[in-house]
Amino acid sequence: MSADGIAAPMLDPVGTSPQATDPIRLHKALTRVWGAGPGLARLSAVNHSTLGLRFMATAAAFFAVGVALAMLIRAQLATPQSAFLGPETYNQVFTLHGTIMMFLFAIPMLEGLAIYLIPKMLGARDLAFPRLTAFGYWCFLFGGLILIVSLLAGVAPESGWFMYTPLSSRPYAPGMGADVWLLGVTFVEISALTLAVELTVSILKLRAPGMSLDRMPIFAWYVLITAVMMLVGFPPLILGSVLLELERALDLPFFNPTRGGDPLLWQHLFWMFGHPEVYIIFLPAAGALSTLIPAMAGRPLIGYRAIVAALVAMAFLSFGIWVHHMFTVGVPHLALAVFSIGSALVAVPTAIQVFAWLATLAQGRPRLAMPLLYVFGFFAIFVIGGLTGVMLAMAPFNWQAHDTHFVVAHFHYVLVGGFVFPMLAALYYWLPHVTGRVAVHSLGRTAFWTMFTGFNVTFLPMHLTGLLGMPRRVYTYVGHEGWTTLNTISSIGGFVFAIGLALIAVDVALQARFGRRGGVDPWETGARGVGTLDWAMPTPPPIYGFAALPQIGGRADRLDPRAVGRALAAGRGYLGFVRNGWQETLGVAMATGAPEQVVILPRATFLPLWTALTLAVAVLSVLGGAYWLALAAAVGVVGLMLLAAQRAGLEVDHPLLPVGQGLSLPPHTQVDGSPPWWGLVFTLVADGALFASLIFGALYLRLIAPGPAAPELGLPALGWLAAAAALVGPLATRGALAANAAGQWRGPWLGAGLLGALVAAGAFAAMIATAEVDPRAHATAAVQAALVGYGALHAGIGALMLLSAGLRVRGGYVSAARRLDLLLCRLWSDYAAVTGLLALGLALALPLLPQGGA
Amino acid sequence: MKTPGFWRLTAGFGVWASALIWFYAINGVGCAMGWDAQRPALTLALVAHLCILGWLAARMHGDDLLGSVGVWCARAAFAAIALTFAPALALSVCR
Amino acid sequence: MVAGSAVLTAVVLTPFALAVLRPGSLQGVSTRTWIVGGGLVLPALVLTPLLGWALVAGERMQPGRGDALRIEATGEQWRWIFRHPDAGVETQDVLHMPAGRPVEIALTSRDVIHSFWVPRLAGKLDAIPGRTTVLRFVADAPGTYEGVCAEFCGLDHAHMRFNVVVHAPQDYAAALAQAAKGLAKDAP
Repeated sequence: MSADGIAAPMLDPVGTSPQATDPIRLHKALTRVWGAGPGLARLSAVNHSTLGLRFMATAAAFFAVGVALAMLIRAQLATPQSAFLGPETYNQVFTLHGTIMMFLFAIPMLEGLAIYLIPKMLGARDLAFPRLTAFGYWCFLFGGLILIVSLLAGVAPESGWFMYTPLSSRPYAPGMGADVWLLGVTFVEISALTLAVELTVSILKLRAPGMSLDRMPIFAWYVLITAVMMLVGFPPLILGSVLLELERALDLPFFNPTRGGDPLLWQHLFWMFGHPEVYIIFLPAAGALSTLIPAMAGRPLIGYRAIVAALVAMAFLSFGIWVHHMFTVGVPHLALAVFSIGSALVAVPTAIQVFAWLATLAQGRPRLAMPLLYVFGFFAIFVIGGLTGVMLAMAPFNWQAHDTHFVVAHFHYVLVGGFVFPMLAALYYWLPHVTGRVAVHSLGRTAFWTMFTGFNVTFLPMHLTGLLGMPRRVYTYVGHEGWTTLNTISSIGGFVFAIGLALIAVDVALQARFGRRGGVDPWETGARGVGTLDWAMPTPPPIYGFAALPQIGGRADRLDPRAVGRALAAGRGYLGFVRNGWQETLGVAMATGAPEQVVILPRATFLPLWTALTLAVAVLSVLGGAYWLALAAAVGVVGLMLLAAQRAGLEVDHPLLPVGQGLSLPPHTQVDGSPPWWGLVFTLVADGALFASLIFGALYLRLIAPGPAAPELGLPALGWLAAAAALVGPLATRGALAANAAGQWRGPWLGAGLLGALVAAGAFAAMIATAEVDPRAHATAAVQAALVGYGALHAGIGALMLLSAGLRVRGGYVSAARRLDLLLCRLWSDYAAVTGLLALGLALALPLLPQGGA
Repeated sequence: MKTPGFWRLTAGFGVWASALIWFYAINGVGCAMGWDAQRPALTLALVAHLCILGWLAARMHGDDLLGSVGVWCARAAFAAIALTFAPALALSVCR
Repeated sequence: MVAGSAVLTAVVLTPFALAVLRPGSLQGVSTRTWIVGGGLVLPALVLTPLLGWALVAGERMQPGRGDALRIEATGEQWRWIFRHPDAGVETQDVLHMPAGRPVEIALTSRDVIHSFWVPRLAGKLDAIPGRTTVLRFVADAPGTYEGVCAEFCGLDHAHMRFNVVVHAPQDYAAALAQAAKGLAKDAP
């Protein structure tokens, strides 16, 4: 083992089809396979470097729109009774400002950074599901454009970024705006969820051999934990959005207090998402800090294990404190205390990270470079935000400060301090990676100080403005309250802040165009003992990332990137060749990093773009009321997804494939623990979170929500049929697997499963249609329908999966060794059966439970 | 397809999450149904979770990353459960 | 709390400044001191008294002790209706109450969620349709206090304000009677 932790490179054994041993030829061969082509073909790109940059650039563009909206807000509030904007426009402006910043800037920006960096840091050539990455990007772009265009068309949402009911229900928001929010944000959030699944699978399975979990760079831990938080945290919002859209479109009274619904249910669902959301935003930024602070300090990060423990604690605790956004709704003091103490406790894992960073800086020799300046900005601003957060966690103080500009000041301090500043530090740190050039201008420092000063002039006085009684979301004020001077100061600061941001954009452009060439490892992380694999490649990086994959023998954040990079570029490592025109990377065991499988990834294709476009057409059709077009588009989306499934995997069995270093591994299609398997597992984790939220909503509406008594409810006998049919899938798929192993006919089994799934879906749907009590009459009836509808949806998807598997069996994609399709069908059928039976049981039990608060 | 020891990472705070769900359910449903005498049930829930966590933590092993992080998380979760739920028992149940 | 925050901010920024501007000056501080001292001990020392105060103060503010004057308030887009059940009086956008006595305002809404907030007298409480929430407070001194709606409720949320007129206890009944007459006069 050499000193840099890489196993001594062995001579390449000749594979089945040795293509290139010369680095230049290898580079060209890999580029041909991994690249998308020039011109319009760039829209078919699926590789992580291209898509990561696209995500970040698009997020930055949306950020600029959000900043412009903020300028409108500050212009309006600079003086009392300003005639600049009327309330109709102002309400749309501030709603979109928040919505854009939270959904179209923060999340996509951090996902883009993760997409770009994770495969590189982990020694993989790409993420696990490249077509899904592309699909996620296009959904983000189209969903975002729908929201932006709505403002230009004057139909933007206007009920605030958190869309409290009943203000966002149809009687009080009769226009299209709320539907734009619900559909547009759900469109974007589903894309974010798919990326979360992909990141989880990629970090757990696609790493360089030898990179066990404790050798992984800390950034990967941050992203892994964030991704899992997204899997559990986004579904409550998706459920709430679906329920609210159903209420608006079909008059199902989930949140309507006159018919047994409860406006507070929306708040619970929203904040169950909303609070973890802000930690989801903060953690990857903190991960970037944990990576670049050691580089700036010139020594490895202190407290790796303490930080991992802190991250796990933070991930869990952040899900247990959402009610601190609801301290003024009349929660009993006992419950309030639980959430107040929890909110204070979450400061502990945060403090552990802050002091680990301080320790790292204190025990190193910090170099005064641009990223460090932004680290200072982070410390100053985020810490203040954290402190005002602790203040807000104290309920008596909260009862004064809630819904005032004090809160606005607080969350800008934590979000700008805890996300924007670290991301700018990351920008300056990784810009040389993307552009291949380093900074030479001092414009960056001017930009920083302008921005830093402007930010503080805007938001520091705002704490006082709030404590003097100025509420949030008011389009004007009278002028006698004593708020005028403070607002004028904040508005002036706002413009300075915006100028600072613009200067940063200029500085970045200048560096990209005129900076001095940086070469490999421009920050000299190797010499400083903190080298990671992302620097072990030329800058800008080639499209395929690594010409060969390394064997990792020690910590993957203490490498010598220049030495490793030279070896890998020369093809000395795993997969240092092109075979059959395939895009290959390695799959490893989750904990130990032992190499397990060769993962063959799909090449560039336009399918993700077409699928996202068709979905956008469906969304727009629903918004425009053209329901038949929406249905046709939905069918189109399903068809395109089936088409995408048909082309995945391999058409024949393969023997073990040589991968270099004397090792041969099976292709992923012939391994049970392959990326698609884990992809479905984690998708079901998210789905389960959605189901759990639905169960919570059902029990909440029945047991806790006040309101008129529900009518007598029952369920038709179709329930037995649905339950029986739901059990066919698990049995049939097991039969198919057994037949597959024995070389017998699988078709009949799959056909039986398909029939069972269709009957189940039909029975569930018929239950709703023939319900004794109209679901619109009372929230209990509506939530029964929702539970049954969940069963129907999952049975229907099961049917589609069995259809897809059947087609692929006919196409020769399924064999005794290649049984992934059948495994996926079995997993889904099991999940659909269990949740279907639970949903049925709860729907039946609901009327038998006492109705609380009636 | 083994998931070696990942449970150690999530066990500690998994118990904390369960405690939160029980507390919220007892208090939320209790106040809606007019049951004011919730303290015995809440105390029982608190003590039961602390015992379960103690039992789980004793079975946690390993010097590897998952093990040592798991042990620290179990200790932190124990403190979190005790600190979050115990003080609440002295406060107004339904007001 | 502001002073404490300033101190804590300095506690974080000072080591940062030393580390960057005087590299090596903090070499002697052990890892344990940083992580356990800064990450565990410091938060514990700060948060425990804060939470203690918060929980005790909050408990004292809870309603339902039976000795308060009950007034009902209903928010609707975009005004407040106040009802005094004992006196049978109803007013709009003006709330009359006596000084020195606990008052419990029973809040609800006719349409969307509003929030009742008189900054100089008490914290706020939301008025939610379908529910009644109760805010308990004492006004120490007579005077007129301005209140706002503190939950975004649509187009005219910014103008949904009201006044609380606090009377000396002996003047309260007469003021209520006066208000009742005044509303009758203005009724269409």
